[in-house]
Amino acid sequence: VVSAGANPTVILPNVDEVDLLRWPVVGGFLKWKHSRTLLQIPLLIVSVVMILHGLLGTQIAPKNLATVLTWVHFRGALVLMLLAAGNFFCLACPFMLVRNAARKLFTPRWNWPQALRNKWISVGLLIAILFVYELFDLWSSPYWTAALAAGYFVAVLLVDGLFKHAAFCKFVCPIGQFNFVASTLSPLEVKVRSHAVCDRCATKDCIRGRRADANVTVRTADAHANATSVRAKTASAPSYTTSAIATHALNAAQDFVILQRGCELALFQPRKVGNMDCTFCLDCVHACPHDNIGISSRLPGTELVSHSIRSGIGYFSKRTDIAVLVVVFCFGALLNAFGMVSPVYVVEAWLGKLLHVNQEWPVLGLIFFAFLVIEPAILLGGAAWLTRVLKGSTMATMPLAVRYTYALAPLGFGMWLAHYGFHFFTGLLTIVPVTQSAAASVGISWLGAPRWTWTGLAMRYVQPIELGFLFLGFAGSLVIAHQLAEEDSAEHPMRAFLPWAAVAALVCAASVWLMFQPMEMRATLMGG
Amino acid sequence: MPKMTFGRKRVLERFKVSPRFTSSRRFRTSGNLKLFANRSLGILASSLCLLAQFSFGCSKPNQKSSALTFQYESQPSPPHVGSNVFIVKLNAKDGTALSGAHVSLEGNMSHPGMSQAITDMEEVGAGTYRGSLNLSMRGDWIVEFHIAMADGRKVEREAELRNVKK
Repeated sequence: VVSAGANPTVILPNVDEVDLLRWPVVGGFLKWKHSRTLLQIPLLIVSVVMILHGLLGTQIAPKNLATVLTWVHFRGALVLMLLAAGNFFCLACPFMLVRNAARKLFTPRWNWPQALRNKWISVGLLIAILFVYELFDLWSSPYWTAALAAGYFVAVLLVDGLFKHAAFCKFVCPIGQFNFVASTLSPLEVKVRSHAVCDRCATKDCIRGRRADANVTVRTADAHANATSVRAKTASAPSYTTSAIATHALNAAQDFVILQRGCELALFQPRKVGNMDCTFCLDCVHACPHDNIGISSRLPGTELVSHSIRSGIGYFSKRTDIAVLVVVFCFGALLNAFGMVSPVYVVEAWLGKLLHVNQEWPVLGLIFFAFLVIEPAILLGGAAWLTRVLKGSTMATMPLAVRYTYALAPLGFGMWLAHYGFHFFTGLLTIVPVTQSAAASVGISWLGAPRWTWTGLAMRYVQPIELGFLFLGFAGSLVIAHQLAEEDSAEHPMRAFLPWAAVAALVCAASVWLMFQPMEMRATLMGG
Repeated sequence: MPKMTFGRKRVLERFKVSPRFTSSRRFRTSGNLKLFANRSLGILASSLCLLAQFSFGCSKPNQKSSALTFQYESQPSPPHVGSNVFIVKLNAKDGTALSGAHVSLEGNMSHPGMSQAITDMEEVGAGTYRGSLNLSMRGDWIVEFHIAMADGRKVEREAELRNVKK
């Protein structure tokens, strides 16, 4: 809400929304220019220690920082943060700190190829990580967990060393894509406070970056340092945006020096919808000269039913790649949990016998194909077909399936929360003895002897929490499917809703069944 | 009963309760990939290793007590979910039983964050130690034997218990 006075930058807060940036301490900190770096530094230090311990410390997974931090604490804290707030892990991403430092030394030359400006690579990488996780039992291998983390740093440097803007975050990073999908269900979103202010804005710094004419003397030492280190050629508005403004910015930017870069992921704030592709980096916040961007509260999941065109994305309903990402997000959650329970060994042994193979990868590949291709094709294709048969929608089957696939995101998120939350809560305190042990191995004794008996919450307390997550996700999926159905068939929404509600119910039932299977964590699947 | 002489490379010291898992695919695959990674990580790995010289002392201490032999058995064999009795025999190279050691057992699952099983063993005969360990869940377990010899030497041994069932 903008005051009607002459000064367009005076914005009255919307009383219905909580704006994190208006909070006294937190807001002040996040608006501080170096807040991101300050958040990234501890995570970088932890990452380096973790990698060193993983490569060179004990190879007993429950006693190594690499495996404990990665598979127990990081994953759990990540999903809980996404549920409770937003994509703050991307904000504090240590890979970006290294990348930014490296970009002070070398300048990327190319734009990300047009043909690859989609999610297909990252979908493939997400599946690859899930596959490798199962095949090589990453949870039980500190060495390979550390190698994966180190490889991530190398990949970031390689991709963003060659390509401009945030190509890695937007088109490659599988963790980022996971976060993007999950953050569609987060209660916080980086968004403009008043569109009226944006309408009057002439500079569009949130996307173009705040700039100074290269001939203009930059007065302060700080600004000068920034100006000389971040040249317009490397930090101008990303060219892969759908926004014409950004394209214009790219052309116009060559003669300017960027004082504060705009959104590297091509999200033009006035036309941005939701959290998809937003890393919460707050570059737009720092760049906006009108202080018109906040981190505001919202109803989680609302962006999944929005049909607006989205800056940097286009229409959700036309993005098959993002829909497939949601499919992998949802059914991958089931698959990841399935790999940890007893029935998976029975299935693998049976498949191995049937196919006369004693190697794991073909059998695991078949299971992945069943979970990520056959099962979604049957369920989503069947529901779309049924919706058409019941005259719930006049859309063709494929667009219909794409449209309603987004309704499964909450269900998938519920499953990830239940799974990762389980490990997080039951192993919450294990970081204490593992840290004590790692410290002792380098001669630091003041942390005391490792308290190996410290674990976490008992399973009997965690299981109700797991169920709560699952049913929360189920409820979210039902609400979104119903909203979509109401739009498609105002008179008979149930005709469109029921097939998708049935799919959601089936997936939820499978999730609950999985949660109550006996856990059996084995490093060899084909051993019998 | 698995038998082992101290002083060999740690990776060779691992022994399995069930011999059919000894040459499991997991280890063969890991070996190939490790070779690949060692080549591909290049400078990064070298830097980390260099750093490591000043940090983690390449994990376990070298145990030069080559004059010792270590044997263990479990009852039942292979171990199952629930209480299992482990018996450890410590001998000098000439066969003399090594008494007066303090032996403790520690069981961990292959997945981090799960509950541990810890117990102290009791010397029930000359150089023979006995203790029971409760393996609470199905799956792969790693049992560590922490041994403090009477002469003050400390040695560690591991056993991988694959596919512990009910």
